Amino acid sequence: MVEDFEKGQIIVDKNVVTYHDLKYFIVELNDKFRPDNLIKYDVLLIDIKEDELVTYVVKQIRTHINPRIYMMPIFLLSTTDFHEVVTTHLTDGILPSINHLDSIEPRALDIKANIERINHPKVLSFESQMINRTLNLMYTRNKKVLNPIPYFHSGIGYYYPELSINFDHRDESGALKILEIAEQEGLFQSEFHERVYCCNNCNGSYLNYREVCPKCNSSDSISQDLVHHFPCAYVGPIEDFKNNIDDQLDCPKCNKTLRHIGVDYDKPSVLYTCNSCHHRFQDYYTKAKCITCGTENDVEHLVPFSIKKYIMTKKGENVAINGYINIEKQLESLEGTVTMAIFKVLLTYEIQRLHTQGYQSNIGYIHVQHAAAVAGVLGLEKQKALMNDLVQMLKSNLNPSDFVSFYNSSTIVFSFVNTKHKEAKEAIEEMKDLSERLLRKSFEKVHIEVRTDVIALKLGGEVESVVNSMVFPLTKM
Amino acid sequence: MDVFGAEIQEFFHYLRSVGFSKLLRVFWFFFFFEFFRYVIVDLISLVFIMWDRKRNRNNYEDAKRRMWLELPLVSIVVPGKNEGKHIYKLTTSLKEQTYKNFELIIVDDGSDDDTEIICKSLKKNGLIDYFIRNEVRGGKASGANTALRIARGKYVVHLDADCSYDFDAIENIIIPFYESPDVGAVGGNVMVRNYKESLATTLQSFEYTDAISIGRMVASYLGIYRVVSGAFGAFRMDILQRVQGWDIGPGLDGDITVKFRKLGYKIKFEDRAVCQTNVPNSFRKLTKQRLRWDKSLIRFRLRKHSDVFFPSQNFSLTNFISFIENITYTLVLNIKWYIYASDMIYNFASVLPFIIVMNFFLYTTTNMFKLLVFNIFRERKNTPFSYFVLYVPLMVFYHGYYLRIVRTIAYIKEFFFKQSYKDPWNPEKTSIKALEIGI
Ligand SMILES: [Zn+2]
Ligand SMILES: [Zn+2]
Ligand SMILES: [Zn+2]
Repeated sequence: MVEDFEKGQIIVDKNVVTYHDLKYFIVELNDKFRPDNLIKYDVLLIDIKEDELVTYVVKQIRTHINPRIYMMPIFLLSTTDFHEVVTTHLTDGILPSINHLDSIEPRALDIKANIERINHPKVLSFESQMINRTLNLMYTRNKKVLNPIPYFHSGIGYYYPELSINFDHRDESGALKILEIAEQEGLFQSEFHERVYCCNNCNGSYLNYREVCPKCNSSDSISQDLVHHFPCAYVGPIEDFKNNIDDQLDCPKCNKTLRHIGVDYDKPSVLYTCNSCHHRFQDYYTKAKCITCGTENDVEHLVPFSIKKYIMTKKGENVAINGYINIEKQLESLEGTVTMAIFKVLLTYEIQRLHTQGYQSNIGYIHVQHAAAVAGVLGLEKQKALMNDLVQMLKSNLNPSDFVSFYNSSTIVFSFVNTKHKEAKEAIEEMKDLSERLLRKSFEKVHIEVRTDVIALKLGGEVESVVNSMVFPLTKM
Repeated sequence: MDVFGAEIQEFFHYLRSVGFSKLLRVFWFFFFFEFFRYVIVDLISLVFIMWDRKRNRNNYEDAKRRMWLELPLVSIVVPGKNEGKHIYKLTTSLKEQTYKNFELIIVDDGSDDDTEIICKSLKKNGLIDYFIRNEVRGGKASGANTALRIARGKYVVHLDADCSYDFDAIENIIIPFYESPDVGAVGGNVMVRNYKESLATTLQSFEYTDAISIGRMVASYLGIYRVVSGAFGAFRMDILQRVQGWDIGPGLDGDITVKFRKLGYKIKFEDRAVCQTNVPNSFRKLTKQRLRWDKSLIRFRLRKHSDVFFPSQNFSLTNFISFIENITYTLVLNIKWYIYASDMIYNFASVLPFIIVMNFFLYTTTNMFKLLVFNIFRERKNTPFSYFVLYVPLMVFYHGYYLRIVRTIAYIKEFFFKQSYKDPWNPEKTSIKALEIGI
């Protein structure tokens, strides 16, 4: 398809095909694939035979930051079904050849129309972004049910393609947390499907259950039946009773021959000897060794997750179109923070305090940019740890009377009470500096940018609008 | 009161008139056997024991030092059925021990209560090192032998689950092994924890403090100490393996001791290694316990280990004496007492009330004397001796009549009917086999 040719209404120019009202872009093996450039096209056709590369391309699209790109219709140019199950779920169909565009056109048009119906409010928190992406993808495909698909490569064994694609393997259980939030918000109803037990360390579900030595966790051991000889109370493994001459079993203590189990001897217990540490024991421990991270889990310490089937509600459909913004999920209360509601109450008092002659007050924020990307790289837990570090740094630099809250999971808002605006500006510059240094130190390999700002409080300011106006610039990035 | 006073006067008048030789004739049983063995011999021995201890203080300290230097692994084995409820307390008492290099092995011999659950959770929490469960009961001996399969210590300490131990008990029971290389087993000093619970327990406590504890100190000194208590006894592992563990009971404590003695090892009693136990709190339960103990004398001394009496290449004089002493002072004396009683009834029928009163008076005085004097020799007491003063008169009935009758019944039952083989203390399957081969 490198040479230009014209056939009917199909206009092919390099990798671009225009047919009726749709512009198709064809990705080929040798192309330098630039997802950002796809914004100009309506449909993506993948003309690659290598499964891994196809998967890579699909992932690049579906995790793209731009909604027009991540929702883009994707078809595989292929005569056979594609085998990779997740990729199959995340693409929209198969096109046997470029001459059959008619076969996919209705679906492509339908998806395109749906995409155009969707509004994209700028949302900041990772959780909101994830919910929106999932709902968007489902809605544009007229999909009502989000089914967990059993997936060998998944960290937790089950995959919700539209959502899980955004997560790294070791962090996939994060998808379940997102779905839980969405369910609490009434966007989904759920049906129980399965329960999985995951590694206590990494939440991986690829576990090797086996019986191990209670002392050293080795699964290499031998078992022996202990024989109790009634007349003399000798207790020992059956080997002790064997002789070199015949098949009879003779008691090493009283020399009598064992005759009849239950009458003159029995086998009351089994004894295992560990080949690794020589520990002797009767009961194995069942341990689950995590193949992913190597942790030996006690079975009772595995983390259970409910895998559910999620059905989009009417509210969910609504949110799919209009975006999920209003209810930003609060981070679990971290030490030293107040809830957003309390923050707003305190802010009201602070604004009233401005009546006092010469009293000045400010609020500011620290925002970690690209929350979804950061969470993708760090994992949700580390991202939370990062936010916690930031809060502690803030607290030690603010006055004791200042209050701190999470605006969302990647934005911290706080006050500079009884402080001149100029001083607050200097302080926040310093904090920006400090936090960037802190992040560089803690997360060497990840480039994390922060944005900060501070605004002076004005008399008569409406709390809601004060906060929103301060955070507003963030939505335009 | 006047009448009684007159009686006593008449009694003393009688005593004066009969003279000493007549007195011996009437109270021969007391003077020749009991007073001699349990007062004279005990007292002289105790004096020697204390003198020895003073003289060998350095020796003892040196043994202690060598033990701490070597720090041998001690395997504590606790076999039992339905003992789960005691195990937690036992582990806490063991956690307090000065000597810490031990492994704790619990063998659950077919319990049908919560023992398994309790022990497994204790094991998970690291309070028990090894827990082995036998689904079907095999008896105490097989339980202990199962523990022996696992034990890796240089010494094996056999404990009862319902006992608790002085914080230096394990240390003290191991030291004697370092005093002499001939020591094969050491018996601990069992005291009565529930001595205030009932009359039965108080009298037993008196018995444990006096007859059992002092008796064992003396026996140990004389080299004729017979029974290393199952509640608290320490054994050298190599010898236990040589004798291939415990044989079927009841009385397996005494039996294993005999097997050690036959190999030429010394058995020591260590009064400073103290364990406390709950004794039967009613006479009915006590009777059951003593019947079992006393039957084992017949079964093990007279029957199973009768070879001790005959010259053979393993013949040992002390073993011979130990057995003779044991049999004399239990079985023979028991028979002799009936001869004595008949003698009195037949020859002194007219003064029988005086004789009974006089016997009571002699024994009580002796008991009081022993209580006061022997108290000096006890290094570790769990009961103030004054507590027993009031009970001294009752001891005559306890020792002289109650225990004697129980013993007689036990001997008859065992001697003529081999009743111990029917004792549910052992599972029937093992008793049948033991009877078949006559052990
Ligand atoms: Zn045998
Ligand atoms: Zn091991
Ligand atoms: Zn793991």
